[in-house]
Formats: sequence, structure tokens, C-alpha cells
Amino acid sequence: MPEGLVLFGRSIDSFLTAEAVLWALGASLAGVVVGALPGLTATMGVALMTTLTLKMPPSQALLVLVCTYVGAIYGGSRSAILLNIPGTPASAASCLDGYALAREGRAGYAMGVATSGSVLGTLIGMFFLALFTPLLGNVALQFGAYEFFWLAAFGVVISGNLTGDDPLKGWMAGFLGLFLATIGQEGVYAFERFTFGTRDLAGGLSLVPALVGAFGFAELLMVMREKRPPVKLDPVDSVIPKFADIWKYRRTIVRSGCIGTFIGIIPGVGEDSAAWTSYAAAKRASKEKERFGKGSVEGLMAAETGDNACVPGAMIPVLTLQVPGSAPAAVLMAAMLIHGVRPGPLIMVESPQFVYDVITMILFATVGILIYGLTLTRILVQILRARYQVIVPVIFVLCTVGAFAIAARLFDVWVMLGFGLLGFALRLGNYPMAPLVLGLVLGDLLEKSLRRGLVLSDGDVAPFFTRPISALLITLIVLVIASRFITRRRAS
Amino acid sequence: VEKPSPRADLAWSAAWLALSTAILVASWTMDRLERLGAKLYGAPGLVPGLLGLVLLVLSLALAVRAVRQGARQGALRRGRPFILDQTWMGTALVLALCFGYAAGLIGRVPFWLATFVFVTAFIAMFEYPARRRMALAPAYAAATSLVVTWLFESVFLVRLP
Repeated sequence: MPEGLVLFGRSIDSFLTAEAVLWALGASLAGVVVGALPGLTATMGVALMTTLTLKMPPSQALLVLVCTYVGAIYGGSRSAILLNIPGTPASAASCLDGYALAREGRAGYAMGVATSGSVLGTLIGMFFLALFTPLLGNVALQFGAYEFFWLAAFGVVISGNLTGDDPLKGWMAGFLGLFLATIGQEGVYAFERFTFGTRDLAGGLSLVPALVGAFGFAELLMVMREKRPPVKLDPVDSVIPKFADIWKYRRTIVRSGCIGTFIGIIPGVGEDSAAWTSYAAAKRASKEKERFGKGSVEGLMAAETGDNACVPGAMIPVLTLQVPGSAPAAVLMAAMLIHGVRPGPLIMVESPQFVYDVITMILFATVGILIYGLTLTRILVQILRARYQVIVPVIFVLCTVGAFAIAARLFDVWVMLGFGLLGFALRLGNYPMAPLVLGLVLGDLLEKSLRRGLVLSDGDVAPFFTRPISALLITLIVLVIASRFITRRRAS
Repeated sequence: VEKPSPRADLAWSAAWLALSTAILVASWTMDRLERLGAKLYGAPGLVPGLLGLVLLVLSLALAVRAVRQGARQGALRRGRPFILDQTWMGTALVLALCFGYAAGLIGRVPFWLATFVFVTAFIAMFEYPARRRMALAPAYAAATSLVVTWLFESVFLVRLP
């Protein structure tokens, strides 16, 4: 622990420059704005920012991305409270009580509660990030090809199970993502698969243009398709959070923070599940159950604490296992790889400082959202009135340039367009996007691990089932699938 | 988004079945590189084939579920029909504009000009018939074109198409 504090101190020292602080504040603001605008998600924000920060030094680029991520998850609560439309899926639970409070003329108070919940949730998540990353890093050192294969499969299965409301479709999206990751030259013989003679496809589908398409272009198509009601905002009262509320709901805050972090650690599940689970747990434990859904401060606090605690939580598997805990974390992981940062089991051995750098980045983002939560309410209200007819073409220009910027080739713009269409079609069919992204990101790990494992065992599949961690992961996969069938049977 | 109807799910399952079968066939017929000493478990088609198989099973499960929910009875019992509705006109227009810009103009005309034309056309078409807002479209487009070009080239040092 003292060593960790020293490393943390070093990180703060290295990031405490005027330039880094300005980038952090700017990126947090960009994140809050993206998150606040309904239809634009944190994943889209991080994907677009990845393309903007390509030429930056890695530490600065990742600072911008982490701040955008934290800012966007927080920003979603603004429109949830003011418009009853979640800015990001993560804020859907905040609509229930946040908007009810706004209808009572307490919109500012609700935003203050959301700000305090978000800040405290992020801080709780940060604490667990510092605590668990070295521990999980040690466990991860015992992972071999067999375990990584099952971990990748587990990620896709549980992501399909918990994101969206139809696990079957979630699994299909996840396995489609895994398949799409096999396009291009395979790793052993450099044999080209599914390239149809296209040289640009030989290197595989570039991850960032694909994500910009699936989350950027596809979301724009959805936004333009849905009719938005005219923006009517209730007057905003004071946004300063009350210490009495924080103290009164301290147990809810700690519980939601723990739940959010834990859900963040589970591969591919993400912030929306964290918010709903925290909300449900708070309702179960509350003495004022009847207030939930009708303007409960406790409910809003739980949802906002849970989804923001999930952000640092989702970074834990990224750093230790190279497996993302949520869709935005998947993009962030891709950005790390682009910038030459290689997270994974050896991170605590090779570059422990980086873990504390990430914690510092999250701390900077937390300061950013606190500042904007207290000062920017009226400007954000104006932003929420912005016309999508103007915003959409501007964002599409950024999607196009961003896709091109990765490798300066027009083919990536086509990839972005193709994934945009695919993402749009899948959304219309009620297929969740997070498993698709997770499949794309984990496809390489799954294939490499399977083939490496088979080579090591000379084609014997037994080690995939008999090693302790593998057996544990298989059991979890079976339980996840079985739980769905049991729930379904009970429901019918 | 409203949930699709069982009939739409059945249509989806047909598309999934076609895709997964194509993946399976392509993986099975893929060169196994035995001449290079590759064993069966090292064949390039192994992983895509397994994934195709899983997708095939899931597609069948989706089809069975859709039929059980009444997809074949013809009636759209609940949920959104898959057929085209009015909002598709708007979607088609967005698609045409975006593809025209990204796949048509980009790389063929200077970036700033392509962006100006695209943003102007987009705002003007979607603000129609509000004349005052339509008149502002070139101003928004010029600002976007200038700021994005400057931001990417001068601040982020990224080459533009």
C-alpha cells in the first residue's frame, strides 16, 4: 500500500501541469456535453476522441479519453433530470426519480444529488481500482491460453446476457463480433480469410473505424429517426449538493459504489446495468420504498453512484486481463493499444506506474465533473435546446475524418459506413451493441488462445476443461446461460 | 426502440441462418494448409467455423422462438412491424446524404468544400420548410468546415482526406 501511495503521488506530480489540467477540463466538458445530448453515448464520445488524439503523446491522449468517458457517463444525468430522456443508456435509471424531482420544481436539487452521487461513486470506484488491480494482476499471472480462451467466451456470453433485454440476441451480436474479428490474415500462417481478394481487408477490420461506425454513424441514424418532443425545461433551483443528503444516504452511496465497481469488473456489462442494479438494491434496502419512482433522492443517488463507480471498475479488467468491462472501456482499450500501451497480466510487473496514472486521470475527471456540475447547469440547458438537424451533420463529419485519420486511407471510411449500417440494422432488430463491440475486441484473444492451447496440448482439448480457473470459468458460463432459462421458465 | 414483432424476428433468423451457413461452408472449404504441416486444429478455418456453428445454433433458436410466438400466423401480434414506415423516408435521406459525402465527395474534392456542401445540404433539407433556418445553413456549414479543417490539421496534426 505505501508503495502504491508513492506511485500515486508520482502520477499526480507528473499530471499536475497547466497543459494536462486544461486538457482534462476540456475533455471532461466535451464528455459532459456528449453525454447530455440524448442519443450520443459515452462509447461514441470516446471513439471520436480516440481519432482526435492520435498524434498526442500517449499519457495526454489517454487523459483526454478517460476524462471524456467519465464526463459522458455523468453528463447523461443532465438530460435524464431535465428532459426525462437519458443522455446515455447509463442514465436511464436516473430518469425515474430525477425527472420526478424536476417536475416538483427541484431540478437543480436533483442535479446536485446526481453530481454528489457521481463524484462519490467515481471516488469509490477509484479506491477499488487501486486496491483490486494489483490483486487481480497477481491472479491474472496464472492465466494461460486455456484460461484466456474461456475468459473471452465468458465476456461475450455474460455481456450478451446482461446488456439489452434479450440474451439470445445479445449472444448473437457477441458471436457476430467474434466472427468479424477473424476477417483478415490469421496469426499463424498469415492466411487471408474472408477478404474476397481485397488487399485493404488483409490486415483485418480496423477497430476504431468499426466502433466509430457502430456507435457514431449508427447512433446518428437512430437520432434522426426518432422524433424528439419539444424541449420544455422546468426552472432550475440551486445545484449545490447538501451535505445532509450525503450523510443521510451514506449507506446507499457505499453500497451502490461497491455494486457499480463489481459490475464494472464483469466483462462487457457496463454502466447501465450498474445503475439499475444499484437502484434495485437501494429500493430493496430503503425505508422509503414507496418514494422510488416518484422523486426519491435515495433512488437518484443510488443510480448515479452506481453508474459512475462502474467506470473505474470497468478499467480493472482492462488493465489486468486486457478484457474490457464495458463498451466505452473497450474503445479505451483499443486506444491504449494504438498508443503503444499494452495492458494485461504483466502490467503490475512491467509498468505499475501506469495503473496509478489511470487512477490520477480518473481523479482529474472527477474534479472536472464536480466543477461543471456546480457551474455549467444553465449553459447545458441551452445545449439541450440545440437542434439535431445542425448537430448531426457536424458529428458525421467528425466520424468521417476520425475514421480516415487512423491510417490515412479511405477504406477505413468505408468500414465506418459499413459498421454504421450494420449497427443501425441491429439496433432496429433489438440487438444490443455492447456484445458486438466486446466480440470485436476479444476475437483476437479468443482465437489466439484457442489455437495456442491446442498447439500446447497437441490437439488435446482436456486442459481446456480440467485446469482449475478454466473449470471455474466454464461453470460460470453454464450458470449464466442456465440462469436465463430458469428465469424465463419462471416468468412464463 | 420498440421491440420487433415475432415475424420480424423470423425474418432476422433467416438472414442469420444464411450468414452462419455461408460462414460454415467457407470455413469448411478453406485451405487447411496441410502442405505446410498444419494439423486439423491449426487450420485457419477452425475458429470461424466454430463461430459459424454457434451462430447457426443461435439462429435456429431464434427461428423456433419466433414461430412459437406466432410469427407464422401472419398476424403481427405485438411490436413494431418490419415493413417500411414514414420515418424511413427521413432515414433514406440521411443515408443518401452521408454516403454521398463520405463515399462520393471525400477524396474527390477538397475536404473543406466537401464538408461545406454536405453540411449545407443536410441542414437545408432537414430544416425545410423553415426558411430562416434554411438560410442559416451555409453559415453553419462554413463554420464547421473551417473549424474542423483547422482543428485536425493544426491542433491534432492529422492529415485530412
